[in-house]
Amino acid sequence: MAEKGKKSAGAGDKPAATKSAKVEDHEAASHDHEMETAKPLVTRSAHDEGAAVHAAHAAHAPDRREYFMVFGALFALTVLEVVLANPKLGISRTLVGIGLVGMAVTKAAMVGFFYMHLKHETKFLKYTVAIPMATPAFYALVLVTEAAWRLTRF
Amino acid sequence: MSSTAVEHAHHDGPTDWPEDAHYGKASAGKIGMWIFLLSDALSFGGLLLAYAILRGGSKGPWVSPGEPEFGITFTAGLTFLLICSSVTMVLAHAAAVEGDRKKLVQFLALTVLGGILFLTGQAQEYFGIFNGGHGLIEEGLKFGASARASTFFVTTGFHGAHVLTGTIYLSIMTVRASMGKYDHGNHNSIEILGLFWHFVDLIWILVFTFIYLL
Repeated sequence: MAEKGKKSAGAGDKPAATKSAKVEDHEAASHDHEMETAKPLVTRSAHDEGAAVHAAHAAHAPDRREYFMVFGALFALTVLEVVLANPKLGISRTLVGIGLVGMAVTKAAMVGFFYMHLKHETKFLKYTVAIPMATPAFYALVLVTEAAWRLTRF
Repeated sequence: MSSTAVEHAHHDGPTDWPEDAHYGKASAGKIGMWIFLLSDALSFGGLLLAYAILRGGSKGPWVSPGEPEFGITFTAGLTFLLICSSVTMVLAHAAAVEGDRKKLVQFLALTVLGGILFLTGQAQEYFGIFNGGHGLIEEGLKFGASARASTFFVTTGFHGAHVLTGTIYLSIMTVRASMGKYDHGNHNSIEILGLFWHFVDLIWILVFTFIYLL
């Protein structure tokens, strides 16, 4: 069908035939397209036995214990951050800064990895997310380096 | 073929996406939400970088005379609230995966409550709605008066707009869930909703550290 369409499309002196062939070609293409797009739309019937159980399996059965452990870690890190940020402790501000940023990035990564289910995604999707997310941090590093360079030069 | 596909699409069972070489079983909606969140993350990245450049390059003291300090304990409470709402969101998704409509609606409603409380907390911080208008603004933190004030209101305000959007999104999904739209393990839309809500939490974790703690 597609071959026929190509041949007719090449014959510029036969507009009617070309149009007809193009329509046929388009229909064939859209038919194929429908077959392609139909695939993801196939759903199991609501009345299928154990549909939810199957879904739970396909979506990685929820691990509530892990969710609560992550919650505990997020809570503990938040408390630690607030304590560390207290200037009365007398810790160097540089160390405090490094510690706070490290803990914040750890917390953010935990939310992404466990709660946003990145741990269950493919390596490709993990990189698709992680690389753009890291670009502002990389740019910040460039700015800090540039500022440090200017301080030593001027 | 097309009518069959449409007919199947209206079934309320879980959608079975084909295995993709790069994205596995991730649905188009989920990948779409991730792409949106990446663009959103870069927006927040821009705001935080602008804050860092202004603060790093400021000649005088960062806190101008007459400006108030931020209430770290109060904001830590708001952080805790958002973390709790992330837990209720993830439990709502777990209920959706297991096809438990009652728990799904309950946990979504709790997440909505978390969003409302956060917004109330932010209104209290800005405007002092519970103590006669005695908030940051009345205490002297005026938008445009200093780089500290402007970056604070733009960044936390932009995040607050996300919380508001998320709360509206959650409310709509709670109503839809109560109508049985996500029964029988049809959890994809709930997972996409969860991605947005957890992102709001993730960004707050960074905003809290950079704006309030550092």
